[in-house]
Amino acid sequence: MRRKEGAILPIEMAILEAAVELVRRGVAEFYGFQIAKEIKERQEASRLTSHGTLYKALSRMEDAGLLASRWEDPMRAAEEGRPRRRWYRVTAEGEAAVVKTSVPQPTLRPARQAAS
Amino acid sequence: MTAVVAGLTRGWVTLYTAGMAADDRDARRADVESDLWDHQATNTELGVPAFVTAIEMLGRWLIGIPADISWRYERDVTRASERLAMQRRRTMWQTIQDRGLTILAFLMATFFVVVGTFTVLQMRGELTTEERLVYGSMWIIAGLVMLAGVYMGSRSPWMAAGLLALGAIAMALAMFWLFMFLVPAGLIVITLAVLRARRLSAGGPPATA
Repeated sequence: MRRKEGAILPIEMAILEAAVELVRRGVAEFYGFQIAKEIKERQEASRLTSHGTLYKALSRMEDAGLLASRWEDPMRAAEEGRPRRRWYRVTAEGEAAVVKTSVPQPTLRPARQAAS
Repeated sequence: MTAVVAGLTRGWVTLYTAGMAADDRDARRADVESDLWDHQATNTELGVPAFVTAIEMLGRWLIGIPADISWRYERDVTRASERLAMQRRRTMWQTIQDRGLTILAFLMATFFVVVGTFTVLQMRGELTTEERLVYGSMWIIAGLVMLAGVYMGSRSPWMAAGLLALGAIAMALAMFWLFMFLVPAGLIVITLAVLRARRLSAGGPPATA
């Protein structure tokens, strides 16, 4: 069954809310596992979001313009001896979606500027 | 144990991303690879026992399988739609080119046949009889060669391109004082005819013009 155009699924809203929370704490960008961990902590869930659910949602949110992503510089990842991360950030459209569908949020701009 | 679960997860990712577009495939494999590493590294840092990490990873893999399959299906559908849209755009552009070629070549050919016929029939008085016959016949022949090229169209595209090129060159030579118009128009006709012939001989879609 296809979802309605423009509809935001619960997992997508959870990602957006967790990402907004990270922004508020001065973390402008996040990677896959980091957001899974953040969602688990926020929802006090017993388990982390599965790979399939998480990356499918991130991919769809990026297609919908709610998130933007960039791949990390491979040199940096190599220096730290780990695989390259994909860094995601919430777009203005994503922020608007959070504001629209949840309780009023304080503005996110100052935190993002502080992070950058 | 975590290595075994990570290996199983990688194997599954390799399986369900097989045959995908390279950018989608590589991105998903890299996403999961990075996730597996971060999961292990974070749990190690927090002092979580390895078997707990392995169980968590196993759960994340197994529970995500339906989402992986549906993601693959959605990407395939999206890619197929993109390919179809691109094919439509290309076909439309080819149709415009083919129609442009037909119209331009037809106008040039008709112009030459008409001017040649008028010349032979003494409707332009400043030439001698011999000149009228020679020039008029040349123009008519050049026009007819081009019309033959137009007629051949997609039936025999290389033959058509040859006839159109021959007619266009003959016209430019026979009416050299109109080179400002005939050379660019001739070059356009030849280029479009060659592009069409190359496309059709490579198995491209036939013109709808």
